[in-house]
Amino acid sequence: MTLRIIAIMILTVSSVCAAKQRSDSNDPFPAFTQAQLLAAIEKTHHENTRMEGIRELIHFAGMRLYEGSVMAGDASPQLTRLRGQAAAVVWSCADVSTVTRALDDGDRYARFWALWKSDLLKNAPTGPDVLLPKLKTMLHDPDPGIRQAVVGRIRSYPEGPQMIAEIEPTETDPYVLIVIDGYHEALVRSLSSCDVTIRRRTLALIWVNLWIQRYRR
Amino acid sequence: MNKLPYDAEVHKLVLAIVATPESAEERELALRTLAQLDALRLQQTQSRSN
Repeated sequence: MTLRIIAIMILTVSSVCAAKQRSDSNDPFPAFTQAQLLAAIEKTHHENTRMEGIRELIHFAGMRLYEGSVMAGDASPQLTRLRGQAAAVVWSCADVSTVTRALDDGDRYARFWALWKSDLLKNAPTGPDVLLPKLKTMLHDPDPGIRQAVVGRIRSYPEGPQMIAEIEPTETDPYVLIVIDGYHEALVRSLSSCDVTIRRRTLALIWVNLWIQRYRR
Repeated sequence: MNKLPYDAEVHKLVLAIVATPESAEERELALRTLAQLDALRLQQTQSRSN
């Protein structure tokens, strides 16, 4: 049963990530070779190609970049190992300067990774001065997954609740609204929307959540 | 995301979408969601009576 749940979770996460990535490229986490991995690592060693290399490595690493107690494996053990190596290099590149630049990157996966590591900036001497304006801008990110993550992080600042309150009236994504307003208000508002895309996204959110609940029992 | 709790108002809104969908796809998705909500309500009713 546990393995079944893990498989469902991995499939769900993969589907969501694949759907999110569609506008960036056809395959967010492409297969790659050892030579391509080494070439991307080499790029990270040079200032002018560092972000390009990190971006490539983030896509090479795929879900292994965020794995915890469950390993995000591929069908091929060799590719799983290579993705793990890419993830390790990306983590080793997480310094204040790189994370700052990645927060402004055009690639949503790079921005998401930077958000994941944004505590580095928060704890740096000039961190809050740099990070907070960036987070405020990212509350308007085109990717709802990014907006959702930003809401969670910006709350811990004294100015955070006011910034969130300013975007709440115009926020339409149910996942983001749940983080802001809680389940009831977010779902009622989204299901009552005149926009069929929002209603369908909300229906899918409820269906997936309840489907997973049933398999967890 | 945490487990969604059962919410009667959400249930009513999904029923309303099933009744007046904008497309066949929306109706299909609403019906699937409705089935999950029915099951959740039943489960909660049973656990209360136990």
